[in-house]
Amino acid sequence: MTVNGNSVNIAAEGPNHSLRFYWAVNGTSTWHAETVAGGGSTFSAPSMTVNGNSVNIATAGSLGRLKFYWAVNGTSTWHAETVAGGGSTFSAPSMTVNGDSVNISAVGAGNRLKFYWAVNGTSTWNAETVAGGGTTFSAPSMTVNGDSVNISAVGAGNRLKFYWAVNGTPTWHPETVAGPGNVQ
Amino acid sequence: MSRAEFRRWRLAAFSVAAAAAALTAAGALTPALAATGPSMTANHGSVNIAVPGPNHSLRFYWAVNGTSTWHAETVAGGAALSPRRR
Repeated sequence: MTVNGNSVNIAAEGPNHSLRFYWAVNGTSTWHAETVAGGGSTFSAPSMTVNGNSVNIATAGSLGRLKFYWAVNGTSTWHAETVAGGGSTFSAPSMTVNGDSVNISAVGAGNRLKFYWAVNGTSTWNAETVAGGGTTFSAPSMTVNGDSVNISAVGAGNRLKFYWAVNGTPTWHPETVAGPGNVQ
Repeated sequence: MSRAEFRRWRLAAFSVAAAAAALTAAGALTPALAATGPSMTANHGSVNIAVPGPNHSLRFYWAVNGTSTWHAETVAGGAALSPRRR
């Protein structure tokens, strides 16, 4: 869920693995429903952000794809992009807006932690590996924190892991927040 | 049912079956997803993480930005959280 100017937005996986979007003007109880993507398109909880004059949604798509959808505020035309192809995505994604770019993280093949970014207004997605195979065992959570991007996830042995990188650099710094057995 | 009606019925039935089969196939080939993980925010010069801990507890960790010293707190003790579905 996000707040977007004078309205509230909710995105959810709908019937038959569709992607649904609902919005209501603040102070009203009239919800407007839109179908972002039809049946067979969506296989995880979505992550949603407000990005300037548009709304962005990321989900795990069919066949392990990572999908991205955007619509200009006030319109119901949703544009679809494939961030990463089949067999790439093994968790619900986490998405943030960071200056003039969009960031998405998700579990990749072999329990890697993957990070994707694109400059606003482009459909060119750049992939980075935050942590290699066998490192990541939950959906990640991501925030923007000043001049850096932070990601946390459950690591091997039920550790709690934290990764950060300075904006514009591909060097990810790992930290162990809590040791083995501290996370269920 | 006339022969023409039967053809229309058979075509419609086939279309529904094909659509259902396509959805089923997509679902069957879509990999199992990792479990829900931690939740994180940035908060006035620090980073906060909440995560399910041992014995269904709820744990909280925080660190000042730029440091790697993490402070642990227990938000709610054992059995505070429902068992997680895998």
